[in-house]
Amino acid sequence: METNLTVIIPVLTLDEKEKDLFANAIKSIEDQKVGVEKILIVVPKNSEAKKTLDSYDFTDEIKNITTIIENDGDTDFSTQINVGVENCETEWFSILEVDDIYSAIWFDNFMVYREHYKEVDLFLPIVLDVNDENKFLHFSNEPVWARDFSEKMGYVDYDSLLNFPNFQVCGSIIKTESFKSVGGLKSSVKMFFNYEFLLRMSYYDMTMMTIPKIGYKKYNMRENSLFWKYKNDKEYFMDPLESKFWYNTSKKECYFKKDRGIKYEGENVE
Amino acid sequence: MDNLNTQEIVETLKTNLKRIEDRDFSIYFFVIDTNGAPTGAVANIYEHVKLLTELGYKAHILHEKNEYTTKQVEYVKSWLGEEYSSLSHVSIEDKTVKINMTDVIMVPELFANVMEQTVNLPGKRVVFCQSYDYITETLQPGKTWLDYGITDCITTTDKQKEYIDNLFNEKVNTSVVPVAIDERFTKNEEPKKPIVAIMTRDQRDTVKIFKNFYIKYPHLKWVTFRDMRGMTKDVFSEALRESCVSVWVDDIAGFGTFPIESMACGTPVIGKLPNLANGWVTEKNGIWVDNTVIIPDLLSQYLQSWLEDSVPSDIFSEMDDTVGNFTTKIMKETIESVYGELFSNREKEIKETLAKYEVEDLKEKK
Repeated sequence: METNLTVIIPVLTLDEKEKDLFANAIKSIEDQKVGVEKILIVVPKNSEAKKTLDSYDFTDEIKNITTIIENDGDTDFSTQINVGVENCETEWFSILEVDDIYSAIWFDNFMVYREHYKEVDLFLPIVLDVNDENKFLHFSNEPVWARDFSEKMGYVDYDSLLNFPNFQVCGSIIKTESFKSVGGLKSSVKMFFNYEFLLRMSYYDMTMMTIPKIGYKKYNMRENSLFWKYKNDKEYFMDPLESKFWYNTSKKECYFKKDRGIKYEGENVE
Repeated sequence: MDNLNTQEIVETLKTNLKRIEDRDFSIYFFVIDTNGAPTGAVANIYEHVKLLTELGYKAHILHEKNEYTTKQVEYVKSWLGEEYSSLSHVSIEDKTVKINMTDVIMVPELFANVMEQTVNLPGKRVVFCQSYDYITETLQPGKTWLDYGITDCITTTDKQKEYIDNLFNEKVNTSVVPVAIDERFTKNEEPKKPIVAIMTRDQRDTVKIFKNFYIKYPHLKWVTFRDMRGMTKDVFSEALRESCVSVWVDDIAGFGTFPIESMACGTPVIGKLPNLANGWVTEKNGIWVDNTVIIPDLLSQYLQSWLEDSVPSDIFSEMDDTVGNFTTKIMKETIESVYGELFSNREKEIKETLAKYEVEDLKEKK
């Protein structure tokens, strides 16, 4: 049986260090027991990263299924993903960040769970969060399996999301049509765009569950990663007040499929 | 037969022999009223009654009070199913039970008082020993089953047979009928869930194990422990099927039904070896330990492997091999042969008595 799955990799920059991480990310696709149909790498048009990718030494196996998409619009994470999904021709897609890796069992498990849980629109993996030194920090997406966390064990629902915002969407395998039908990721929502998306998915009756297997390894707060920048980069810096604003905004904006272009203006925090 | 003359005794014995030939006798299995609490021991008694009935014998559940048929039988129905609750039940309180010389009464090992009270009954009494640990629980000091005229016993493992042989200096004729695993214990097609099915004889062990586990491994706090106590068989088997691992602690287990049921569901067991080895434990059919303290550590290691799909596959094949030894088919065949021998021994005893009285009768006639 085919996976009918596309891996979307959003790339913004690809310096030497990131190149090594990118190699690991690609290898984690090669290491899967079952293959994917397509890899879409979304990269800003005419960027250095594009040039690096053009000369990148992919294996033939990967090269044959990989398409590099030049994005000439906004280059924020959400837009990059939305562009990837626009070009996705398979029933399912998954987001792989350049500095993360899939575990070798992930797609295999997706195939098993897809067969048994046909109603599901989004499969989250248990994410192994590690630090720069590859040391275990914590799991993500696992609490849905705790007793009484959500209405149905293993599933992410609206009420449980209202109480617990810390889910990781990267590594998830999402039904392309379901993603499109709710409007995709919103680029105006900072920091909590994942959360807002999951709230919106549940609000529009999409079914989401965590596969109780470690499917994705995330390097937390890697230097120059988006969330690192929120904390450490002057250009991206987000103070706790703004963070709270986006958290609250997510709960309000999830009713709207369209990105309404909300802006943080400093004073509009509840 | 005290009031009968020799000729009448001969006739009675001949009638009883005919009854054995025609299987026109009853086997009564004494059970206690558990007040709705499901227990493996009572379930196994019901299984014996069911299989003997299927084999054409008149087997009955014998209970003390009439109310058993209204209350407990309803529990049995929800817990084991209608095919068990609809088996023949007879009440001692009813006083309609008439025990013949050819009848057999199976008395659980715990009830030394019943053994004592039934000394003068004409039927044969056999101890049904499922838990060696209870043998001396109610026996008066210095007394043995032999003091109550009991010389036969049926137990569930070879190790318990050895224990009984040793305890009674091999004066009790003990046979083994292993427990069969109910056919409801099967593997799930659906993937398993991060749930730990836990069964301990002492509930404090359950609490200790999961509290220790959560303290030592907070990153696995989301893993649910399910106490398997007090469930109906259907719910119990479903819960066991969907769990990814089970934990078992029962120091005085005679047979150890739970771990084999768990294996039948494809759910590996982390278990503490009971005081008396049960004979079916192998190095690879589970994760066996000799103390409960390390169970949380082993559980955490197992769960980590399960989350990574790296549980060694040989544990599953070994589990299947073990389960294969405890099918209903095997149990039925064993029951046929063990009880068959018991009844033919009874026939022999009656024939010997008959021969004695026939000689006496002849002498009297001369």
